[in-house]
Amino acid sequence: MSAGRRLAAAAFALALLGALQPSQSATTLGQREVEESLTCQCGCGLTVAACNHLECSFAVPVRKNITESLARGETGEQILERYMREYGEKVLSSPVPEGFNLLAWIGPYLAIVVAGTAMFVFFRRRAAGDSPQQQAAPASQPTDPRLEQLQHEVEDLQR
Amino acid sequence: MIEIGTFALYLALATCLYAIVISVYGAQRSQRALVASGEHAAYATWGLVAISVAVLVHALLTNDFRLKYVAEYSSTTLPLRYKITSLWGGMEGSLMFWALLLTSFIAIAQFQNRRRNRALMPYVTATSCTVAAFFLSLLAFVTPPFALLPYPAAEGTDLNPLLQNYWMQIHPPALYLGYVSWTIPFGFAIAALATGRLDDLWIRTSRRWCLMAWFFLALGNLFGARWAYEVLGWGGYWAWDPVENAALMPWLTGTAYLHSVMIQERKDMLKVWNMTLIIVTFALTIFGTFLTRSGVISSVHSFTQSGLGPFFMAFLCFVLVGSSALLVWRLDSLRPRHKLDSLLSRESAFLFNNLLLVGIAFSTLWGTIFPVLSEWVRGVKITVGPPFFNRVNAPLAIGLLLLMGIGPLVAWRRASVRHLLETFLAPSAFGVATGLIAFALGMHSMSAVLVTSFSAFVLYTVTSEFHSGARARMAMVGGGYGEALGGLLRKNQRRYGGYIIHVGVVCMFLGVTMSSVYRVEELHTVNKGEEFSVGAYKLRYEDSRKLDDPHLSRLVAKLRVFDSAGTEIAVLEPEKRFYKRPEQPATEVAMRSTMKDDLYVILGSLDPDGKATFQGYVNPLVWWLWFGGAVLVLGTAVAAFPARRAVARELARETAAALRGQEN
Repeated sequence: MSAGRRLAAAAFALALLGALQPSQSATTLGQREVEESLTCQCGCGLTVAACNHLECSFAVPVRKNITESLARGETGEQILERYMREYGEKVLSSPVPEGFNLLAWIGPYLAIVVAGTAMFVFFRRRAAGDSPQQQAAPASQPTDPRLEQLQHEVEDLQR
Repeated sequence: MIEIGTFALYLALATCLYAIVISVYGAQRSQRALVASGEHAAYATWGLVAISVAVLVHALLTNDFRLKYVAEYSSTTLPLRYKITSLWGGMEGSLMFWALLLTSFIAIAQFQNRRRNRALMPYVTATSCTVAAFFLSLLAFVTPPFALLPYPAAEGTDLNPLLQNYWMQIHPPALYLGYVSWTIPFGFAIAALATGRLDDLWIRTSRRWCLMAWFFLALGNLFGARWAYEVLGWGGYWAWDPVENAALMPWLTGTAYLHSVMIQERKDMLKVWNMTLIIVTFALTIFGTFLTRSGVISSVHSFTQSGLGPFFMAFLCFVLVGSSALLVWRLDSLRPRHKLDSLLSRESAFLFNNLLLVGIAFSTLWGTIFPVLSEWVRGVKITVGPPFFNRVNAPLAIGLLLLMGIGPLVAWRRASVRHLLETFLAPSAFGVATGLIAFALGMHSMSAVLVTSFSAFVLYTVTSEFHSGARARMAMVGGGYGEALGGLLRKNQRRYGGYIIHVGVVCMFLGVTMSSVYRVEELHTVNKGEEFSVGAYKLRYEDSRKLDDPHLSRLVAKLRVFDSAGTEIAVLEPEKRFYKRPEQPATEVAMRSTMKDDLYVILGSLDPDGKATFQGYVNPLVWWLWFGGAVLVLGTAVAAFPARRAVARELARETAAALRGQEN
């Protein structure tokens, strides 16, 4: 395996770990986290934590129930499971990271890793195909800061 | 009067279609007269749409309840300023407003280019008029703004109370300006593809349009966030609602384009990528409109939903297929003439910046449409809400913040490791030290520490760019430090305007992070004269009163605010409002905003015996989010302000003098 491929594989594994993180931290949910993990069903489109209807028929009793349940010793995860059984998956404010829903979490990172790897490989190949003259082209380290400044200003005016 | 509006609308559609056909035909046959006729038709379209909009505004101002639109979105008691706002408060009016902006921009672009870019302009006219024709067709045949009621209504239903707010007066116009402006760069891109003139002429010509579109999208999003903050009353400003996401995505891809286009201008590379970004950005503006109006995905912006979704989807497909076909057709001509010299270069930093920006746009799109995918594939309804977007996008955004600091430190073309170590040492040390100090002072959230550290890193690099630039100018032309700084801004607007924008973005990062991580929230039910705490603030509930007018009733509570030392620092009056038409309650938040934090209070309920429930928040550093927006305005003004000829002449003199000095 080349260095580039090893790098890509490592990046992919890291992305996967990052994406799967929510399932690992689910057991430490407190009042705020549970409220944020539930979507209010009053039609406001916000989470139970954020619902702006102070007399909301859903968010207000749910908040109270979460407080009481946590005090009774129920874990945040158990509370979420109970609400999911009652209202279906749509009550959770983010997809459960399992099955098809894993795609939701992994998709963006996968796309970035694939695009980044493709970009890396593309430019490496193009650089490898350079002529010796191009390879030996001098780097644009500034020789005189005044000239560099003028160069930038002229370029800016040309835009 | 109403007939004039309808007639002007139909005529506008006819002149718009004529402009499309005759512009392309004239260009194909190289007949200047026909091309000129197409341009005149586009000007005429603008005039006719303006007449039509004026008729609708007149109907709103004069309470002409024969019109269905006026009866649905206005009333006799609606204040004048909101009667004007009603133009974009409903679906038909907002499409009219869109058409007015679009045809105005087409007219401006044509006037700007009346003597230049003559080969491109017929296709620019045809492309942008095609977009205008789509909107005018909807207005003429699908959702007519001048539809009449069978019997005139005695009174109007009124504008949605949520929209009766100052920020709603300016948020939609700013957002529409952003959305619509992208049509012009898209028109130039399509014209470049159609004519095969694929050098950077179309990029240079459309640069200010891109900047304007990007700027207004940023402003529109910020105004919307401010509206949500003040009106929705949940203590936050961004809920990752699908319609919010729809406005964010083209801003992200547009930002990517504004960076990557610099590589094309310098190195003649990334031509295909830049074309793709412009096409995607424009397509996302149409997608955003589709999301807002289709109701495919549930959103708090449901007041604009209609049956127009399929039309927008069809037009979106047409745009994507047509543009992609043109792009594939010209692929050979778009091959780059130069190559990336090194992966250790500023070009690479820009590429990573593009990767992250487009990555955030993709993850936002992915999260927005995933509920629909889930329902298709599994038949199960799910919600993808703020926790998903925060968790997925936060690491990418923090990476982007870091890149903002790295970019200016890396040389163009190829940077040596030794040079990188030299330039990175001081800003990195400053960033790390700031992060450590923040941690020692009690900031124990990883994301907050990272954002603080990276922000310090970026601010150091930006400051040193200004400092070294000013020193170089002093050595070159003499004068004082302040004069040299002014000279930098005047003569290198794009570069330093960009840096100012970066400072604004850093402020916004700090505001968003700290107000999200360290927000305090408390709910209290108290009697008159009782005190309660919200964070370090003490509040005393003094009194309440009821106010009534023909438009709304208001319950107002009076609170005195004391700091931790017991000194009175403010009087806040949160309200509960009851709009009479339609009957709808609303909250009026009371705020005390400082650079350190916002005390944000909502009146939840008020019992007949005077007992009141208050929800209070303390949002740290949220002021910096809005301040960052103001800095962004300043930076954009610097970057976009046209360079004057006198500056060019002065610069030429200085260049010649410096080169002579170099030779000696």
